[in-house]
Amino acid sequence: MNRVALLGVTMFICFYMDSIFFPLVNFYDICPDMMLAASICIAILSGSVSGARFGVIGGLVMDIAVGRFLGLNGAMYMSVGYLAGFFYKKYYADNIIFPAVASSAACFLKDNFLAAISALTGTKFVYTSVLLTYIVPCALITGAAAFLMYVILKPLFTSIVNKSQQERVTN
Amino acid sequence: MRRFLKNRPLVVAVAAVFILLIVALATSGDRTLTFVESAFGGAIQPVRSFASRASLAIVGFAQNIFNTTDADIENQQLKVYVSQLEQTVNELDAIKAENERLKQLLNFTEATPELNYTTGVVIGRSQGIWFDTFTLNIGKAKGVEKNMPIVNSSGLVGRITSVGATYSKAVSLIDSSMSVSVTIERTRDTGMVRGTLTPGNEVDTLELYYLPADADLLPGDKVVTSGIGGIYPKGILIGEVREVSRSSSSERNATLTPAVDFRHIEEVMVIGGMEALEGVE
Repeated sequence: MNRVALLGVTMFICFYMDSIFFPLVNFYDICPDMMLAASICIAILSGSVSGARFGVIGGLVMDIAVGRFLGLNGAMYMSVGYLAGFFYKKYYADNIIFPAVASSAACFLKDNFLAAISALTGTKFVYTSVLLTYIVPCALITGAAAFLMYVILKPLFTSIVNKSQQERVTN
Repeated sequence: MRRFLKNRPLVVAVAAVFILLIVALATSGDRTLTFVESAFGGAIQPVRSFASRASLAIVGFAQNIFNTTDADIENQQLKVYVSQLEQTVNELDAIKAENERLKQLLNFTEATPELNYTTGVVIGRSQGIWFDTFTLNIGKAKGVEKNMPIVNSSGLVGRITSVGATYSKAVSLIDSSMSVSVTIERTRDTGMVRGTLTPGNEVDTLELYYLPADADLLPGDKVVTSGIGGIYPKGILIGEVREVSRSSSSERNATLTPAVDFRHIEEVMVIGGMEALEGVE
């Protein structure tokens, strides 16, 4: 499997999980943000540009398919992908806790950003209640999803990188 | 500043985020989808329809498994036989339930012949609690237009916000941006219903506002659309009063339980021909 195919399959799975599966199967509305977790894992595995590219395309696909605003998810996932890329090659690559913590933090910030937008557009809600019953659980479950995703994606990315290096050496 | 400008990927990323946020702001209202959105959405629609159907089948299958725990105490041969029979029964039940839902939809359409109805299937939903939007597999090609109301056999589901050639997006009644003019069926008092943002609740909630000060409201009262505003036809069931608030400091009069189960919407009908209805009235 080449790199583009791997990214495409990852994006499709995240899109399916976020827009079809989790709206059907969730626990009190709490579900992980798979596209966000994937953007972070990819950024950590292959840098800011890849993370931002995956984030913006994935976000726009979500916006076009199910989003309320065109570009909001694109902008959020792109920012997250770009920022997470700063950690590319800057920590021990086998540390699987790091992507999980980064995803949790990003999900926490994303939901707070959306809460601010909702509040600015006139939606009334009790912030502490939303924080405890939705934002924090979603951040934690997104971290768990990123943990699993990183465990799956890392060997695949490593094998693709090794393969391309071998081809370069052979040529 | 010079260091920032030298970092080309960072400049591109910041510019792209800025542009995307402007686009998001510009597209925040109800609108007709652009050609690119419509074409892309149309292209991925068959995959989404298939994935949506498959997910429903998987969820149904999983529920069936949890419903057959008694079979554990029987012997292996009997278990297989029972599970085969149950599979058949479940399939028949699913067909029966679908038939019932479609029959109820048909009854609804027969009650209001002056309106025209287009049946659609929900093929995607927004993530999270902040915006409650969903995508239907019908669009402009089937006559769907912006602001058309959406109903199912239980009552009002929402309204269309943006339309592509073969799909459309809708906002559901429980979205916090929705407000609908309503009438209390028993007393004929009018008010306004709004969606709410209540995470962690097993049951969705609506809030009823702006009833007259002397309104006689009781738990269990049915709330229907008033027809004021011209978007929603008169008399569509919204829900029933769950809790009445007597507090004078609060503008909220009551909490409603929606008639529609928003967590399990499958088939819906988009109502067209509201102009004809206005002519009749």
